[in-house]
Amino acid sequence: MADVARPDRSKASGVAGVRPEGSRWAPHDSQVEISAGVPAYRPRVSLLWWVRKPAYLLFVLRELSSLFVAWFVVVTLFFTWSVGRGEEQYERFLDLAANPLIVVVNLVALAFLLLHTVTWFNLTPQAMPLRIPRAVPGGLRGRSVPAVAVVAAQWAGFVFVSAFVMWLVVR
Amino acid sequence: MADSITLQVTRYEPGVDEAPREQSFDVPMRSEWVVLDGLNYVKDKLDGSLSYRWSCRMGICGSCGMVVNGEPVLTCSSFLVDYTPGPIRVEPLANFPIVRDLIVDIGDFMAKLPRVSPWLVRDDERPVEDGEYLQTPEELDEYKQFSMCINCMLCYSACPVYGLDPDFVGPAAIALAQRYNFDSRDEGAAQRLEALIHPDGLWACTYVGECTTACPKDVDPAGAIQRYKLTAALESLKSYILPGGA
Repeated sequence: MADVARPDRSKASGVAGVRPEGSRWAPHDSQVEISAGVPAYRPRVSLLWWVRKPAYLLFVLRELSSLFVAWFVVVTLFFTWSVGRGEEQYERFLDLAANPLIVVVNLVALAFLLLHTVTWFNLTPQAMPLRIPRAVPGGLRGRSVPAVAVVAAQWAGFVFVSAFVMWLVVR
Repeated sequence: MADSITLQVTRYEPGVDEAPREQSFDVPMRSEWVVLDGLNYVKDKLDGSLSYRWSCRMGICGSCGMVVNGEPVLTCSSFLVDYTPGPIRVEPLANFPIVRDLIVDIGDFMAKLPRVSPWLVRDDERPVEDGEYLQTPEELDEYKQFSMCINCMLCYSACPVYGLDPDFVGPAAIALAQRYNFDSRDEGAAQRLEALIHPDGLWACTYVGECTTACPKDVDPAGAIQRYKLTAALESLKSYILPGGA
C-alpha cells in the first residue's frame, strides 16, 4: 500500500461537515435513499431558477409573451366589434385606446409580440427541418434547406400578410 | 500563464454531511490540462477520497459530465485555460440526486431509457440467410445525428423542466426514440409514440432549448422533440378524422 497517494489536507480548505458561508446547497429534508442505507441528496430547484442563465430568462420571457399575444387578440376583437357597432362605439374605442395607460400597455405588448415573433421564427428551422425532395432534379436534391432560408421565408410571409392587411385597411 | 488554478469542488459524504459543501484545491495550470486532469491531480496528490466518474478522457464514454461554472459539460473536454484566472466551480450534474461528491444517481435515466424502446423494432425479423438490412447513405443521414448520443445526461442537467418535474422522460430518451423512428429498418414508431404521447412524455417539453446547447455531440434533442410533437399531433388528428382510428 506504499504507493497509494496520501491525502494532503493541508492544501485544501473546508472542513468535513461544515458548510462555508454562501453555499448554494441548503440542507433540507428531501434526502432520498437510493439503495439500502445510503442517503443521497436531492437538490431542490430554486423558485428563481430562470434568472440563473440568460437563456432561461429569454425562455421565460418568450413564454410570457403569449399573454400579450392574447391581449392583442382581445384588443383586435374589441376593435372589430366596435367598428361593427357603428361610429359612436368606434369613437368610444378610439378614446379608450388613447388612454395613456392603454398606450403604455400596448407598447409593452408590442415589444413582447416582437420578441415572440423573432424567437419563434428563429426556432422554426430546428423544429421543422426541411429537405429538398429527391424528385427535384439537380445536385441539391436530398439536401437540407439552410436555416436562413426557412427564417427568411417566414419573414417574407410576414411582410406579405402585413402588406395585405394594410391594403385592406387603408384602401 | 499562472502556475496554478483553484478548483472549487462540491463534496458530499452521505451519512456525514447534511448537505453538499465546497472544498477548494489548487491544481497546476497546464495548457493541455482539462478539468478532469485537475480532478485526477486532486485525487492522486491532494485528497484520495474525492469521488467522481470518468473513463475514456476523449468525449465518447459520457461518464465525466459535471457542472463547471454553472454549465453542464464533459470535464474531459473543458480546458483549464478557458477558465482563467479561476476559480473553477466544479459541481455534480444538476437535477439528479447526489450520491457522493461529484457522483450522481443516474438510476432514473436508466429506468426511463428502455421505455422508449431504443433499439430496432421489427414486426417480423428476416431470416439471417437473407442478409443485412441495407440502407442508402440518404437513409443513414436521416437518423445519424441522433445516433451520436453518448448518454452523458448533460441535457438532463440543462433541462429546467426535468429539474421541476422529475417524471419528465427527458431530452436524451426522446432524441433516442427519434433515432430509431427515423431509421428505415425500424417499425416501432407506433409503439414509441404510445410510450411518449402522455403528459410526462413529449408534451412536458416547453422548448427551452438548453438541452441542445449543452449537448457535446450536436444531437439537438430540442429539435428532435419538436419534430416528434408535430408527428404526435398529426397522428392524434388522424385518429380523430379517420374512421376506426389511424
